[in-house]
Amino acid sequence: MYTRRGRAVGASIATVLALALAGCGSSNSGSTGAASSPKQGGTLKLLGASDVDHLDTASAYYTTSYTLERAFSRQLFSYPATADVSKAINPVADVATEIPTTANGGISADGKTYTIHLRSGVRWNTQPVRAVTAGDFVRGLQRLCNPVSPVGAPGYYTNTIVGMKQFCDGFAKVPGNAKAMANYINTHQISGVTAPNDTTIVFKLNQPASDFLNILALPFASAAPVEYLRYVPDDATFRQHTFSDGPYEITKYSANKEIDLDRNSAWEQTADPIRHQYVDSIQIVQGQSDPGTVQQQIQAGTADMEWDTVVPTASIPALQASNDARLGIFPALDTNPFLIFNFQSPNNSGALKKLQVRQALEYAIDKVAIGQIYGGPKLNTPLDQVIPPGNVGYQPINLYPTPDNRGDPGKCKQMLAAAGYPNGLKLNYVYRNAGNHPAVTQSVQADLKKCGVTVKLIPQTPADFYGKYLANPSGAQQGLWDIAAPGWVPDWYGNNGRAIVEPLFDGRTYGPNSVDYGDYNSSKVNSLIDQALAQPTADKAAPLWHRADMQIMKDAAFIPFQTQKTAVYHSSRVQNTIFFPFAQNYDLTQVWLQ
Amino acid sequence: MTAQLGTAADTPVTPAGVSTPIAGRGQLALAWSRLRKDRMALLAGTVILLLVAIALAAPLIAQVTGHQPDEQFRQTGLTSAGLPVGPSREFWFGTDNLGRDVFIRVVYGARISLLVGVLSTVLAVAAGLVIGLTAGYLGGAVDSTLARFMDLVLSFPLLLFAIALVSVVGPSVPLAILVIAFFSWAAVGRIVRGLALSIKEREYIEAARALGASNRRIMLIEVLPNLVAPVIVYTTLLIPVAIVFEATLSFLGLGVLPPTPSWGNILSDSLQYYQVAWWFVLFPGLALLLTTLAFNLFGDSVRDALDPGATQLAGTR
Amino acid sequence: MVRFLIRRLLFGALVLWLVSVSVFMLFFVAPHDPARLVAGRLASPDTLALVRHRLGLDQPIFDQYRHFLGGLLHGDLGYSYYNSEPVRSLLFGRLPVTISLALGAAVLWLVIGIGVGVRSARRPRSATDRLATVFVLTGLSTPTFLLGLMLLYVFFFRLHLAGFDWFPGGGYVPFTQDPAGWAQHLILPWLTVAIVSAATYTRLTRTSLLEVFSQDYIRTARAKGLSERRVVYRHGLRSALTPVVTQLGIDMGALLGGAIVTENVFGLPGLGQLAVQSVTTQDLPVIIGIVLLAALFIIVANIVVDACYAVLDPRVRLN
Repeated sequence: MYTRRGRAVGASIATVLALALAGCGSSNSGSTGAASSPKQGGTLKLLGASDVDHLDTASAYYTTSYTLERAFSRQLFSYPATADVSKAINPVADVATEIPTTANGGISADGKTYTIHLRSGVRWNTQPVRAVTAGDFVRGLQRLCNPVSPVGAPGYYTNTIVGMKQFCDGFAKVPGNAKAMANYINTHQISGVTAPNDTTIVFKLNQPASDFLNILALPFASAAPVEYLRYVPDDATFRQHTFSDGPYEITKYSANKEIDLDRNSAWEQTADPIRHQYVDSIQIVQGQSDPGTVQQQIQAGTADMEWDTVVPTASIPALQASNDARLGIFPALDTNPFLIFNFQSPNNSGALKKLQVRQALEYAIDKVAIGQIYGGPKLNTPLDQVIPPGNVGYQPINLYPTPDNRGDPGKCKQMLAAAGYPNGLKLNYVYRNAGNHPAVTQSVQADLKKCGVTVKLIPQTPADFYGKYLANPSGAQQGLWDIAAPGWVPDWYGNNGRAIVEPLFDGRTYGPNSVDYGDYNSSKVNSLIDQALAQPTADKAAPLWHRADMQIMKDAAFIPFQTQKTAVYHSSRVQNTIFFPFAQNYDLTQVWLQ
Repeated sequence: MTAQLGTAADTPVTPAGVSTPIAGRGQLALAWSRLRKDRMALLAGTVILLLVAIALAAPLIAQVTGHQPDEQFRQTGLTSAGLPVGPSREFWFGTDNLGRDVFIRVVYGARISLLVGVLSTVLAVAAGLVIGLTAGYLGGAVDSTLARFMDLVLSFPLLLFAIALVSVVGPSVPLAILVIAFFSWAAVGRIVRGLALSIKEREYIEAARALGASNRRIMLIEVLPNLVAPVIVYTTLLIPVAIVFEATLSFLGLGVLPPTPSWGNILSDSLQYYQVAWWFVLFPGLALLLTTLAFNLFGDSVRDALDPGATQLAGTR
Repeated sequence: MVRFLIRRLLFGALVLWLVSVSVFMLFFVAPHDPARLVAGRLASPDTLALVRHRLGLDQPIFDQYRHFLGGLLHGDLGYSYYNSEPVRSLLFGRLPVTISLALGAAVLWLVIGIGVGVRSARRPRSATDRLATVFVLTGLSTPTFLLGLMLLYVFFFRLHLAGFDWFPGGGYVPFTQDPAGWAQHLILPWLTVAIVSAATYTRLTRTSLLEVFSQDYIRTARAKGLSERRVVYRHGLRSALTPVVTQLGIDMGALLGGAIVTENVFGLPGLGQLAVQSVTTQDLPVIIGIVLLAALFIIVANIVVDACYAVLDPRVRLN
């Protein structure tokens, strides 16, 4: 859950990616290619546990929501459907006519103005059908900071687009009813976003941003029809009145139970270079929380694909051994989970504030054991740095090597003693009481025990894990927790320093809404982040991100565990399964049924 | 989960009891000798004693095998893909998903299951006995209030409230014990109350009262002994219910905290792996089954020993 | 009789009120923050404050409770924090599923329980009796979730792989849409709930019937030459059923417990599944709604049971 995404530009990134992936032995065997030819028709059935977090593109943030949004919403730029990962993470034009560059005038010479033209033929499934306009995209951005159901990551937009912050500050004060919000949107503009005519949209940025197209490719920046102003964003009524400019439209939404989609007759293939419309309808059934049962149903053929569960780790070895073609294993390019330190904790006389203590703990963890919990070494590779392979700035770093990545308790103990803690430490370890987290927690606890560190376990629901502990500065200051293990999948891949290093390690924005939960704050790193973000291209930014990575690891700001591959499964009648990394699932707009 | 108390159908809940409750102490001695002769009771009783012995001796057993319950044997206890290994000379019951010895964990799990099961039952029965006896014997306003209170507790949707409570406060062993006790005592209380109501009408009680004995004296000396027998039966029958309830709480993620093993949370962890690690499910499941069977059978035998009338008469047909 | 009913109804209302207060208070024991869940993890403090205000969480407890009680008296249970849907429509949408599960299972366990119990009582200590005892004890000792998962594995998964798709792997089909499908999807869930509970009724019926058999009037009936069938069913069972009825009343409360687990195992979109979901997301209005509904059900069931009791046993009525 909570996965973020990004994009890559430039040959060097692709090379790094290719190198990184070459060693992974990734098998795209789950992508059944052009062996059969496209067939129309049928109902694709997805089965899973929970509902989307939001149905409104302005606020939907779960990976699963991206699976759904791919089918019913379009953006100015989006990601192509291809089995080639290095291509899949580069934005291409979706509703825009082409990628803007300085050469074609799409980007101004100073890199601060983007002029984008919309292609014709993109239409809403309204009655009557009408074209999607530049004004719709402006409205989509305006709805982002509505006070009722705001976007979860406003920073990407408020930090880049001129006037966005002011617009959002004003919007936050507006009463939460549809009329007042519509009024605000109709009477206020974001000064940096204008639509001179129906088919042109112009963005003005505070400073050049080499990842701006990635930011526009996030589903947050989808277009919104004027009808949306009638409703309170994402409330129950809204959810019954969504519109679509994509190949499918939502025909039934039953909260926590079912979502049905049918073909959108207003969509035309000629106006959509990315998506297709093969199956007649899509049915998403929720409420089955056990991944094992979901897997059983897909194997038995009563369901076609997973909605939000993954293949249970227990089943993977058997499926791999039998070369089951329905199994697909794809790189997640993530860092999940990892161990953070509460830099504000007063416990153990502020032990965690001491560099030597943190460095000692870096040697404690058996990363291979953690990988075993998530499916073994074929799916999980130990990671020893901030930036996972496949993302900008990646160069291998390993400052705290242990034999076979299995931890070095002797060294850990030695260093702790040298740091002034010969009798070890007592740490509060808060963890999520769901999924694989209890197992990870017990593994880490055993590792730390060998190093002389006693751990007090504090189980929480995922909501309280973040709400009461990690995102609660006063709790952190009281020392309610010392260590915790969140996870992070970047909002986009490739040129995504803004989506990895910045949110996780820029301490200047620390607060209840920051994901730098430990309050790590280093002026060196902050300055490197600023410099990297100001670079005009990803290639120029890469070395800066790498230096930030190096500094963060020198400071032992956290303990990375691993980078993962995702295992997904589909039934035998599903063809042309292309993995969509942003949803960590197959692309619904590419499959057909036999 | 169903409350099992109504199964002691020899004393249903009516003010005018359908059958006669047991009277006097001499009967207990008779019952004991009957129990001794019952083979099923001996078998079940032995199993229970064995279980308690194993639970008490857990650390000793851990020393003998050389495996601690929290120890993760990542090299020998897991396949390279991270899956549990099956029963072998090193791991008698195989390992779990973290490479821990299932045998030792089941042994230690007995401690928790027995602790939770017995303690919560004892608490529930004690509370139910006191309140039910007071209500039934004293009658009047006291009875009305207490009976209403018991009805109120019985109207709470059990598991639902338990889930809400545990999720808010956080799971732990003492909480599990309290929750199970809180939701079981009222049923005991209701039945005790019914019994007390009927015993109250007996002649020797009237006689005692005529002789000037205080209410408390009568309750403790005359009425209480007659309740001992059914109460013992309920206790032995409630224990397995409590143990299974703890297992269900663990399944929903609200039971005993890891890494402490309880049969419930071992089972709950094992469910994802049953297709590849049958031993992970089978052994804790068997332990649970055997324990509850033993308690149930023993309870049945106790009841038969205390009130042989029904079954024996029918058997003479 | 009427006075009895009125008294029970009044008491039932009191109980409901107390239950609502208890659940409400429960969520103020440990401070939590549903606002954060609704607002999203990265929400700014301003947004959080706005969301909190919108949900009414910044008002003092008593105001919140008064507001809630007021709504309740109009049949309005408020809005779910999690998906902005009115709680009432949420609950009523899922009620048919849970009722289907509960009633079907109850019928099944009564039939199995009483049926096996009667056979056992007629031939005590025979092979049938012994087998029944084993069945009973195994049923009593198996946690519902374990039984459900085993049934699912054997009857759904293995059969499907063998080519017999008789049993679906979960999900619900409304009766009005497809009665056959409705039953087909519910068979395994019914069995899961019923087997665990049937055990109690088997034992109950057996013991109760055996006791009745030892009574004089049964001996008289037999001496009169009545057929065994008449003795057992017309005379014996009628008196023996009183404790069964009592137990049924007690079990109404436990029924929701069984439903919670079974609905989760089989993915049935009923109240039990909603209960677990809303506890995880701390969706207080929904939790209160479900608890109240469940309490109402238990109270009504107990009133019905007591009324039946009064009908079956005149001595009770006279009290």
